[in-house]
Amino acid sequence: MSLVKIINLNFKYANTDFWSLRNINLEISEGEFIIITGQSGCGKTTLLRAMNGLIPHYHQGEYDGHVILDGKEVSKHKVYELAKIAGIVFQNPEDQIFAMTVEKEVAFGLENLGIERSEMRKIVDETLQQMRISHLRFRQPFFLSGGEQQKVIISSILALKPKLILLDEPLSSLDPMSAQALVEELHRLNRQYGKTIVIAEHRLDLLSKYANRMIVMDKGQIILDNRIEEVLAKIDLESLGINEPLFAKFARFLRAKYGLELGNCLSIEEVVRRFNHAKSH
Amino acid sequence: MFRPEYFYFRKKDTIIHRLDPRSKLVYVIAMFVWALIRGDLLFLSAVFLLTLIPISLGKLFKNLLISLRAALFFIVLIILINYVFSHNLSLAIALALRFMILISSFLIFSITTSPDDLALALYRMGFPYDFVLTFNLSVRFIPTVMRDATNIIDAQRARGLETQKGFINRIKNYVPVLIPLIVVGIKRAINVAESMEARCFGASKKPTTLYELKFAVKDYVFIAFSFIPTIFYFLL
Amino acid sequence: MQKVIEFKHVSYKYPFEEDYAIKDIDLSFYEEEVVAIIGSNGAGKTTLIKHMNGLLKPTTGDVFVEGINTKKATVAELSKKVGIVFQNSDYQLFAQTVYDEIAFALRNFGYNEAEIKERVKKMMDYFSISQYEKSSPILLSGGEKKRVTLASVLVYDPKVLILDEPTIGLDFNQKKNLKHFISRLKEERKTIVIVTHDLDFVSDISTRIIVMNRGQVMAQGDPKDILYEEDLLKEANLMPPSIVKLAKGLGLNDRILSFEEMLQKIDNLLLRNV
Repeated sequence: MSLVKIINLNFKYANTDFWSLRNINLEISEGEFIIITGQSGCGKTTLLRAMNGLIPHYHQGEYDGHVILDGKEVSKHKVYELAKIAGIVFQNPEDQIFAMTVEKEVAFGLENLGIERSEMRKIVDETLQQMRISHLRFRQPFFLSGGEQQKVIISSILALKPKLILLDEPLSSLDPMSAQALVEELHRLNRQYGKTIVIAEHRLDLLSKYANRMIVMDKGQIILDNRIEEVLAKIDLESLGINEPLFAKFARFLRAKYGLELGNCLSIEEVVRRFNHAKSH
Repeated sequence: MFRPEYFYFRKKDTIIHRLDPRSKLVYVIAMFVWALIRGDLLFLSAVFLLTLIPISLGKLFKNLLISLRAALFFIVLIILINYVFSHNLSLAIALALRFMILISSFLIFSITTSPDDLALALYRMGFPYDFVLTFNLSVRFIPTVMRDATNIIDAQRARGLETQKGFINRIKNYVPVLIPLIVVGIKRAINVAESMEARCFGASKKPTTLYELKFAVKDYVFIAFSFIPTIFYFLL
Repeated sequence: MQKVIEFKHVSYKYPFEEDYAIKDIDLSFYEEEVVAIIGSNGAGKTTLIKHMNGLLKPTTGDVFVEGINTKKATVAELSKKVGIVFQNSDYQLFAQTVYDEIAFALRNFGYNEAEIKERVKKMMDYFSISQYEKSSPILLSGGEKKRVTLASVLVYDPKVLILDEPTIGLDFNQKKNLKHFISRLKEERKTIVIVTHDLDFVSDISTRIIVMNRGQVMAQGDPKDILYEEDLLKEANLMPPSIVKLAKGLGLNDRILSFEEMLQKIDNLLLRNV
């Protein structure tokens, strides 16, 4: 059974005159790490919201089609029930921080669910360890760096033990080092804890090596959905208005101009290794 | 120019910070009553000096000085007006002291009490959860809104907006600041609500809490301390 | 080249804080430069640029804009020479129409309406936003908003244009347009200062790079020197741009910074091998 199954989904926000999602069909299996990308306004944020029920419950509008999350029809369940299956992290950390200490931030969702205190303590401990931020436990989230704040917010999502973590441009305001560190944590959650990750981002160069699949959207539609190595090797992403990672662009040029085939590469290191190998032959 | 972060509650570890918010609430109310119950210099001086004890235990002298400096204009005004009308200097000073007691005791409450502890106290006193959370969020977002305001003022001044010339001009010139502030504020509110929704807000009618407030010996001592002026009241 | 802005031993401390946000800064900015100020979040970049139009005045030291000490001039006077476009467009858009938004600064500076009309029209053409003349700027898309904010500053023709983290949230085409626009401004002999941690963006358009860390200038110089100093970047909590990583990996001896240069080198390399 797929973790997410979307069938013929169309959605138009109230008060807009265009369809933000058009004829979306998508299946996501457990354990995947998926990048969704596309130009600004292509509908990637809307698609994430549709997966955990924020659409149609929080953002209303014209909704047509089916989204089935872990066997549950999203439109027929409450957001808080769905939040236990799919957690979502947004772009701006400051708007997702409510508590005065990290541990209370992590406990926020559990408090809302009415979890008993001893159980809650246990989950908070575990979650902080999972994200490796136990040392921040008593710190005030407001004063942490953007990267640390995003980790705290991811912990607060993990506390609800979701199978799926949705992230909407979580890297955009982070500096390169923090972004890199956050991406590595996501990779760990994917590998070590089997969490399914779906991330909407422009910064493909940081992410490509950890993902197994890439979805490209344009004007509310999915125009490309394939294994990431296939996409990077074969598609001229720049012509689609997407920040193509430099190594992929480079490999594409080598193939076009010299017929030099580097195969499937997902990082600069890989391209370099294969190029030097090819050169010496 | 200062950083809006300055207005954010900062955790410190002193005995005053660790007190139960309810006992600090009792203390503030008691001090307000003492400040208003008698108007003579000797009594009010004694009460004011007494408020300096928790100030020093909470390491708040610097904050007190900043607050008093900010209120200096009013303090001088109270002394002047009362002196002009009554020709009684000790009365005039006493009334200024009354004002200073209000500042000092309220400072002890407001600066050392974490907003979420206060929210928890309110929740336990029977206020509805929604109300308590709204209170908590509004306190949490004060520095954020102030930072937004600072950034907006900077952006508009960089396009030649004068914020310092003349009163009428000042009012008129707040439009370019207020509109972005409202727009940004609404966007934030939508984001915050969405993020709360995604973290199960409203799932249970009776949310639990990670911590419970507990009255300890120090809280009883502090409440007893609030009533020391009873002695002054009868002796002085 | 004409010196436009000069920092002399500038330090700044926010009230009530113990540490200096920037310390002992000595810097000069010249005509026709594209200067990238790079550093991680909290390095002091924003504090630094706010000194250039007088939003902040040094705690100690002096800043001169075309020879005028910023302590002796108002923000409005300095802004005519130094325009800053801040990161978040929402922090400045307020007018009822795009036209009024772009005209805002001109009205503050006391231009007459005829001149305002001419300049605003020119800007709307320049940024291809004429069709939005009567629309509300608040309701535009992110990329369009950015263009309106750029127009609203460029309209009064400042000598220096400062862009604060201009690439955050922009997609590929928007970044490409921004790059194009910066090179056009350079041809018009403006000084452009870009504050960013997006090294991929500035690697091939900047003429000088300043590295900041913990409130201090760690290094400055030619992009080819700075961006190839991996240790230096690491110390400033930054990572070299992809082009540098790739060039080093491929063992290219020259310090190249653009994709076109790289292809040329590869061309030579492969042809030599054949």
